[in-house]
Amino acid sequence: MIATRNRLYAFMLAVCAAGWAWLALHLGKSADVQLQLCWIKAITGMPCPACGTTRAVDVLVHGRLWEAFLINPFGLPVLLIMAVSPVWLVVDLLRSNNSFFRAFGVIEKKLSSRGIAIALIALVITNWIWNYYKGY
Amino acid sequence: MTNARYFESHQIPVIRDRLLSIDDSKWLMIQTIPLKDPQTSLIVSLLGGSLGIDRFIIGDTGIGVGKLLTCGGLGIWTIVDWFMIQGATREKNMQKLQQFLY
Repeated sequence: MIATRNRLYAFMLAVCAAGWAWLALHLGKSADVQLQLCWIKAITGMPCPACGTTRAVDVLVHGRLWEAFLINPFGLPVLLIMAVSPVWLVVDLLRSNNSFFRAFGVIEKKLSSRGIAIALIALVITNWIWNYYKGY
Repeated sequence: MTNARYFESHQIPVIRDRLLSIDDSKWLMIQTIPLKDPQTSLIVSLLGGSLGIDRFIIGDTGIGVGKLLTCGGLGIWTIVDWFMIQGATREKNMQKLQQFLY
């Protein structure tokens, strides 16, 4: 975990800003004209578990939830994090609070517990196989 | 200091001083701390950085999830972490040790 509140907040804001900028570049464009930055796909020709996330977020912001799920379920948590965390961070900063920092620590600890970690790894591998069959 | 490679060089004198001053009963606990090797982290980062495995291994689960969901931060974060991961591993080791030193 990032050790201090301010470092985590600066990091999260930078990541979310980069995410929105990336989305703004690709909103409404088809997969053919989108930039391909996936290492795994470039080297092996196989998709990674996250391939299709940009397209999923794109259709999700247009309200097409099921279509986004079919493209890549990763789009849902990504858009949720990108939408909620900047608001939470700004409110925290204005109130001089550290609720996001504490919540991040709690979630990180929960994700690290053996049972949840194994379940999530299984889900990611399943999604990877699904991505492979979708032919991304 | 056979474990010197697990920490930043500027931290070594401080660690040495603290180890000399702490109670002997803590020694056994300190010896069992599972320290991560920065070189192993680098190899993992080179091979599995796109999936965030390097960050999961050192215990940065939050950042690991971020890398996994974004395909290694569109590949850019993966490259940045090739250079950052050894330092991050040493910092993590220091955090683990600090629980017993202070």
